[in-house]
Amino acid sequence: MRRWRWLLAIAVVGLIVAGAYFAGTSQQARTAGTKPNDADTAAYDYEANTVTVRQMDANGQLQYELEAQHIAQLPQNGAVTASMLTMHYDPPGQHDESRRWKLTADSAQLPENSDIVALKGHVVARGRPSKSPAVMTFSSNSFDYNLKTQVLITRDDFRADWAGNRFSGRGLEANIQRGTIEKVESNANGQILP
Amino acid sequence: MARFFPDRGVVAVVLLFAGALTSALAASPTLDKKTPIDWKEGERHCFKADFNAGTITLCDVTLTQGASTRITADNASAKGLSDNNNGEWLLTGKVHIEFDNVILDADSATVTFAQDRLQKVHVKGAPSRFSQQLKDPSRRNQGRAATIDYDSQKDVLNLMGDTWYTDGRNVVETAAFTYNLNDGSIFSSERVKGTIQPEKRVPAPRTPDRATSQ
Repeated sequence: MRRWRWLLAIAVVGLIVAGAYFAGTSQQARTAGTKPNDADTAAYDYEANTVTVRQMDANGQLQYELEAQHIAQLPQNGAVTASMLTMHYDPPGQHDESRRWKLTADSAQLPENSDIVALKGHVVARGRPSKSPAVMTFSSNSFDYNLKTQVLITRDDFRADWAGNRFSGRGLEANIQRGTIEKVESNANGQILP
Repeated sequence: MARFFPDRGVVAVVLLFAGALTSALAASPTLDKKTPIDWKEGERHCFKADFNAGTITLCDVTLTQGASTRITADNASAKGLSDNNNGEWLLTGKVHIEFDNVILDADSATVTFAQDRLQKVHVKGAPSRFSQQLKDPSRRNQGRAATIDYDSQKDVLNLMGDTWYTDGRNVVETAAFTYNLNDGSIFSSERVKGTIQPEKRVPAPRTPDRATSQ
């Protein structure tokens, strides 16, 4: 009888391990469709769904908060990818929520050892320049956003809205920290709305 | 026959040319508060904006508001852009301004939009010029001066510095005068030198008498 009890225990443990294995592989199969790059399907260094990441500065003040539906680090190049991203950014030394910048995008990629996030799909950056009385919004299909310098760059068509003014064109370089547009490559035009 | 008035010592002269009083001559100005003010750059690109300072800089710019207002210049910078204040635009290089059948050409200009319409214009040039197309397409009043100011409240142009004016027939030269955009009249409180050409009278048609009417 004692021998049978041992065999039963081993069988139960084996079933649990097998169950856990199959559950894990099927979960990976379900998330495969949301992976940003098919070449990276082998594995992620890490991945997570419905994530909130908070980055604090040296003084313990919130520097940025990042929310994403899915986030993963790719093993080949260490790049971090995110989908359905929302990022709240506090200007350095300033923790006024009314001046907090918010960036949203369908997807984002941050290469390892880089400060530039490549944002793609319905990208919107909205916030208030430090001395401006009005909120401004930049939108485009893609933006490269430098986390350190706060520079937004796109080669696509863009639109910017500020204080009843609408600006559009193709190819933009803007600094959201300074609240400036440094360059528009072509077709710069605008409208002062009644 | 032309009459010439060399340096008339007139302190205040109201010059109301024949026909100028018919206000129907001058196309009535339009108030446009519903149409957005559009701008675009041409072939040269230098667009910059500072949203903290509320300024933008443009090259090869065209500003329009509806069909009646159109402004072009080589360079433009605007300040004071915010809600309900459409900014003061400093324009330089081949400045051309059209509004309400008035045309201004100058080397530089300051144009103020407020409450969503053109409020003030100050142009400078060597010289700066204006012209106004009257309802009668064959008539155009025009003048030139060192500076011309448009005041939308009074609907007048103030011309200063070596001014010259003609309504196509009469000519006036003086240091400064005011041109009324509504009725095409001019007013000057300076010494005036002018040539006034009397309107040619067309003889009334003869009424045929009974003897010759058959």
